[in-house]
Amino acid sequence: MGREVSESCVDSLLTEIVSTYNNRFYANKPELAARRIEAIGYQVGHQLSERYTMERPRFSDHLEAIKFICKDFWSELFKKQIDNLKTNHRGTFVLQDNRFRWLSRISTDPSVENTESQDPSAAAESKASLATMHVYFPCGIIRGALSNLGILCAVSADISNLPACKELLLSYSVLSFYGI
Amino acid sequence: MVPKIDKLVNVLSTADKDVANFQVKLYDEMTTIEGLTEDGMYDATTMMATKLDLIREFFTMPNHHRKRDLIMAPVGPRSGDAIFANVERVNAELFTLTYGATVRQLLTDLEEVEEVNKQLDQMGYNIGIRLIDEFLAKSNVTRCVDFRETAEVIAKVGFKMFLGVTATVSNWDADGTCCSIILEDNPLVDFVELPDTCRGLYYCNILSGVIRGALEMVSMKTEVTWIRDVLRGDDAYELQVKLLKQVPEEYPYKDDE
Repeated sequence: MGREVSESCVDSLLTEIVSTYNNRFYANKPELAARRIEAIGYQVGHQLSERYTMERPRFSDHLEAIKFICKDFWSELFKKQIDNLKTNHRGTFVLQDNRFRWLSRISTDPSVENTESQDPSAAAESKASLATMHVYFPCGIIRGALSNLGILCAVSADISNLPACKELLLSYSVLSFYGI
Repeated sequence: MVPKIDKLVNVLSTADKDVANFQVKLYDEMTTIEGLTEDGMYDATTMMATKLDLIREFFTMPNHHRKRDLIMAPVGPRSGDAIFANVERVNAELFTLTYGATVRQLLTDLEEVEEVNKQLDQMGYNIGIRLIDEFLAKSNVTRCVDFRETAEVIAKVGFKMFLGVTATVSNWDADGTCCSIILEDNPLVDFVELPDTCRGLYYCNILSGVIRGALEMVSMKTEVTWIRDVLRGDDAYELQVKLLKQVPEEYPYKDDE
């Protein structure tokens, strides 16, 4: 195992990147903020996959490369593998992480939380929108990592299946991407 | 069994009964102190249960003092190494590369190097004001007697528990309000080289912001500036931390009212 830092370093940095772009630089333009955050992730994914594949033979096909992302690459980042991988065999892959670390500690605005008893779906929605900004970075990482392996793709995340739970935990996320 | 217990009660003096009484009340009293964990309560109760004078003192002091003098102190500060060994850790490459990509993106978006320095410092400040809570909660450090101790704690415990490296403190001025924190090993800069176009960039400026933000939350206004930077050709990273003002705590404490 190489050098390590406390997990709070990464958590704090990611929170601050999102807040800098989303609340300060592009307060009224979430789509611009999203693009910048995704670009940072892309850069990181590109460099990481370069490092993690240094001593590997070339991947024979897309599926092999994607399995690498699900197993080795994900384990390096999150100490766990992707929980589920699905494909339609026409270039779309769906990766599912049931306990995605970077979303698991997002809390919502307490004022919204108070209304939860009356309208649970509204609270769930606000959780989802808050979490949305936090998925651009991991989307960028996957896109960057795959692009370094020669696969150009679009990556999008779906966190709409969040269970409407009462805890302040987002424990469910689906990352899917579509090969071109 | 019954006669044995009777005998026991009989030999207890009034003072001993007092102790027993105090001990029963102790846990209830503990629960009124904000911010004390279950573990902390347990440790403190066990420690105090046998020390009558401590218990007596405990019941006569305001909550603020209890927490500082009786509960935090006996448990003792933990070393940076011990904390780092127990926190969740991640691969440093992810952190280093994410920070690098952020600096790069800021350079693209803001164009001016000066502006990037400013934003990195601001990001650090925002992180620092949140990180101090985690630092205090995990380190068990007691109130520092002076700024010298504060600097040592930052270098030996703060840097270690978050970044996994320790720093050294030196170059004190005569009145003990200004010193240098020197970092030989810095995980932020693994793989980093600055091109000529980035002259003037303080690549690690986020660190100075973190220190400034964290200290401000514990009533110390500071100015943190870079003196040496390996990326600029020096032999180490040196941060000068200057104490500008110590905001006095409000007294009397109001939490008992």
